[in-house]
Amino acid sequence: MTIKLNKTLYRTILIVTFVAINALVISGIGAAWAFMNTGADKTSMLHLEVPMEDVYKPSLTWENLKNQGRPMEQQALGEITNDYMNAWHVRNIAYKKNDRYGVEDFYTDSARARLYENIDLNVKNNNWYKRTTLSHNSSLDFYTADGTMVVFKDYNVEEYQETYEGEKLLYTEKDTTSYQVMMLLEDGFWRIRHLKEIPTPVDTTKVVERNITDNLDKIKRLKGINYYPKDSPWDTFGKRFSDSILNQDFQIIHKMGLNTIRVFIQYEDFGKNKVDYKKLNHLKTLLDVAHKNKLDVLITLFDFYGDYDVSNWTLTHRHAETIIKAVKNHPALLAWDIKNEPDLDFESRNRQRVLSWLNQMIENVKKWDKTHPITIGWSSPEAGIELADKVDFVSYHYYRELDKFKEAHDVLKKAVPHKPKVLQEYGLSSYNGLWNLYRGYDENDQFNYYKKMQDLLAKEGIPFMFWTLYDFKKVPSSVAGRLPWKTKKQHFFGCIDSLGNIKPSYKILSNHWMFKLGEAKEKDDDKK
Amino acid sequence: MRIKILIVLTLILVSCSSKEEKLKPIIEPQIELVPLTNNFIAGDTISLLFKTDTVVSNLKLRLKNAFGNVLLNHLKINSDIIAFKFPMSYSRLAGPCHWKVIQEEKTLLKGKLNISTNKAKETHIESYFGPRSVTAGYNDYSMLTIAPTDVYDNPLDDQTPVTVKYQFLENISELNIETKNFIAWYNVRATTKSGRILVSSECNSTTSKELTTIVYPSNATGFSISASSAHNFADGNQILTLKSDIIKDEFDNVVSDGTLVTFVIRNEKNAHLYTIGTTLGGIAEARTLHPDKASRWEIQAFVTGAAESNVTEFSFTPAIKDYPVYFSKGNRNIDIGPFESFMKQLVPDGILLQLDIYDENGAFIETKKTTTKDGVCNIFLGEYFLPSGTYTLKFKAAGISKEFTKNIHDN
Repeated sequence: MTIKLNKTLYRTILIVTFVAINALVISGIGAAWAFMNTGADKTSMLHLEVPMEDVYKPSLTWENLKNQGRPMEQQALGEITNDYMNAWHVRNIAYKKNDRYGVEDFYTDSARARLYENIDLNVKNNNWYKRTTLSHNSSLDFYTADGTMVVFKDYNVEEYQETYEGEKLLYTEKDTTSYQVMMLLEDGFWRIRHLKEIPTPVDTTKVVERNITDNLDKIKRLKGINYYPKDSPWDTFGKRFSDSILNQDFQIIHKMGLNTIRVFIQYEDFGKNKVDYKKLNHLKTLLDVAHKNKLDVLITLFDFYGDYDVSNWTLTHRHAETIIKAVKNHPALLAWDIKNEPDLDFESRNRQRVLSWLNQMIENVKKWDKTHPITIGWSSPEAGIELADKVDFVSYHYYRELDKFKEAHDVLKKAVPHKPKVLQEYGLSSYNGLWNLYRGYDENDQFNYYKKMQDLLAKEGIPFMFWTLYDFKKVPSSVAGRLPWKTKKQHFFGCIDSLGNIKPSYKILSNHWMFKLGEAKEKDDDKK
Repeated sequence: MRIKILIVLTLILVSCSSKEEKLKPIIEPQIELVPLTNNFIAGDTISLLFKTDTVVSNLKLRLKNAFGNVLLNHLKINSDIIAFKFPMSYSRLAGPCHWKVIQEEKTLLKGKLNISTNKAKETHIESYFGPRSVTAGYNDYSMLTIAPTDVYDNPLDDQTPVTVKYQFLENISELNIETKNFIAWYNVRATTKSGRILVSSECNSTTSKELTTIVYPSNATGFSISASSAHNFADGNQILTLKSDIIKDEFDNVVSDGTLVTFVIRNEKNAHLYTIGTTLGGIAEARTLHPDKASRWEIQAFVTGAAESNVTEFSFTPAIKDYPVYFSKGNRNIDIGPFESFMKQLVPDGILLQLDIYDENGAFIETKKTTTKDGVCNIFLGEYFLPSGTYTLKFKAAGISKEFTKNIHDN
C-alpha cells in the first residue's frame, strides 16, 4: 500500500517538477527577451536638449512692465522669463534628487550657496521633495540702464510640494507665496541673485463668478451615450475622423431621443502640453456637428493618462488649458469630465497623489472656464464620494450586477445628497462565445438588462449615459490588453452591431423609454 | 512522509502569503509653543521650544523660507520640553520663516517667524555701473546701481540711506539716496567735456570699490579741409594730400581718434572719386594720386551721418604737352612716344593711350588700348585684324587727341 502510494507520489512530484522547470525556463527566456527589448531610447545617447516647455511650463504673466529704469524690451523679457523659469526648474530638480546639477547656471555664487546648504541638510536628514510651481504673476520693479540687472516681484506663486523621507511620502502641501527677485545677467545667463519672500497683497481684482446653473440644469435632464465611431473606437480624432460619419451617428443618437454624448480626449494622442491643432480642430468640428444635431457634449479631458507625477503637473495644465480655452464658448459644450476612472490608479500611483492632481486640475478648470460644470468619471459609485465637495456633479460607472445597483446608488446618494449624480457609463456586453465558454450574455440578455435598468433609472430619475452605440470590430490593445478572453467582451457593448443592424436593446434605449424618464425627472424636480 | 509533505506545503503557503501590516497606535501628543518673540535678527541663534505631554519620536519641525524646506528632528530638553534648533542657513536668511510641527502626515502646530536683516554687523556693497561709456552732451547717462547686503547676504530693507560720490575733473559731488526694491540707484549724467567719470558709494560706513565710465566726445560738427601737393602738374605720379583741420564736437571736444572721414572728389566731368582717412588728434588726412591729364577737382569731406566740410578746389595743369607718333611696316606698326613730362623727364609707366579706328567712310571699327612703359607704347595692327586699305586713326592720351588718315598695306 505504502509502496504504491509512494510510487504515485514520486510520479506526481516528478511530473510537477518537470512542468515547473519548463515553466521557469520559458518565463526566464521571456524575461530575458523582454529585458533586451526595453531600456533607454537609443537617441538618449546623444544627450539631446529637451525643450523646457516639454518638462515644466507653469503659467506666467507679466502684469506690469513699467519701471523707472530702462524700458523693457520684448527680447530681454523673453530671456529673463525663460531663465527665471529655468531657475525654478533646476531648483525643483535639485531638491528632488538632492543634486547640485544645473544650479550654478541660474543662481549667482552667493545664492547657490544657500541652495547647496539646503541640499546638504536634506541629504543628512534623508529628505527629498517633489515640487512644482503652477502659476506666477510677475510685476517689474526695476531694469537697469545697461540691461544687466532686473528686480521684479512674483506674486501668488502657487507651489505644490510632496515631502519624502526615504521612499515614504510624508505629506503634501500647497501654498501661495509672493517673492521679490533680483536677477543679474552673467555670461549670457540671467541668474537669481536675491530671492526674498514678501507679503502677498490682498487680491483686489474682481473675480468673475462662476455661473453654471444653466448647464447644471441640463445635467439633471441628461440622457446620453458614450460615443466612439464604429470604425475608429478609442480614436475619435484620428486619421479616420470624418464629419459625415459623425453626422450620421449623431442623427441616429438624436433620433433615439438622447440629448448628450460623452467623448474622450487622450492625453498623448492630443499632443500633451503642445496640443495638436489638427486634433483640436477635429474637436471643434465634432462640437459643431453635435450642435447641428441638438446634442450636448460632455468632454473627458484626460483619458489614457496615468502619471499624476508632480513634475508633469504643469504640462497637463497646459494641455487642459489649451483645449478648454479653445472650445469653452461653444454652444454644444455641456460640462468637463476631468479624468476617466482615476480611482483605478489609486493603488499603483498612490491615492493621495491622484487626488491632489485631480483637485488641482479642478481648481484650474474653474479658473479657465466659468460656465461649465465639472465632474470626474469614477469607475464605481463607491469612489463617487471622493472630492465630492469639489465637483459640480458626481459621475460614476457601473458594470456590476444589476440587482445591486440601486443599493450602491442609494449609498452614494446618502453620502452626497446635494449634487446631481450621473450614471456616466453602464452597459452589458452581448458576447457569448468560445472565449467566455458560452457563459456570457446574448443580445436578449442585453435587452432585458437595459429594460430593467432603464425602468429603474426612469423611476429614480437618474441621469444616464450608456455604453455604447456600436459593436466594435477592432478594439485597441491599450483598452483591455491582447488576451482574447479579456478583450472580446469589449467588442459587443453596442446597441447596433458592427454591420449597422440594430440589436434588440436599441429599441429599449430609444424614445419610448426616454419620455417616461423625462416625465419622471420633471416630477422629481417639482417635488424639490 | 505525508507529514513532511504537509509541512513543506504549509511552508510554501505561508511564504506566499502577503505580509500583513500592523498599524501602530498613533499617540497624538498635546503640544504647545513655549512663547517667545516672533521677531529675530538674521544670525541669531533660534530655537523653538515646545511643551508636550508625551514625547514621541516622530515629531518633526518643518521650516520653509524663500530658498527651500527642511525637516528637523527634535532635541529633548527634559521630560516635557522639546526643542528644535534652526540650522544656520535658516536663521541667517532674512524674511519670513514658516514652521510647522508635524507628526506623520498631521500638522500639529504652525507659525511664522520674522527674521529681519542684520544692520548692526558690517554691510557689504555690490555696485554696478553701466553703460561703461557715454557720449558727451545732455542726453546720455550711466546708471549706478548699489545693492547693499548685510553680513549674511540679505538685501537691506527699503529706505536704507546710501551715499553716492562721483568725480569729474576737479569736481567731486556727493549726494544721499535711499534703497528701494533691494537697490539704490542714481543716473550719472554725461558731461559736456569728454573725459572719465569716477563713482563710488557708501552705505553704513562701508565703501564700495571705484567704478568708472568714459565720456566720449559727441558727434563731429562742421570742419574745413585743405589740399596740398608738391606741384600741380597732372603727371599721374605725384600724391595729393587732403587734410582736415581739428574736427570737434558741439562742445568743443576733439572727436575721438579713428573717426572716419570720407573725402569725395568731383572732377569737371562730374565723375566722383573718393578716398578716406581717420582722425588722429582730431585731424584726418587722406592721399590720392594726381590725374594724368589736366583737370579741376572739387573736394569735400564728410563724417558720415554727422558733419561735412567746406568745398575746396584743386586744378591740375597738363604735364604732357605733346607726343610723337611713328608709323612703319606699311603703317601697321605704330610707335607712340616718348611721352615727356613737364621737365622733359619720362612719364611714369601706365599712361593710358586709346586708339579708335574708323574706315574711310567714317564707320567705327575698333578701339585699342595700351599703356606706356618706359615712356613709350606700341600698337601693331595685324593683317588678319585689319585688311589693307585706308583708315582714320584717332589717338587720345594725357588729354591730347591726334588724328591720322593712313593707307595700311602689306609692304
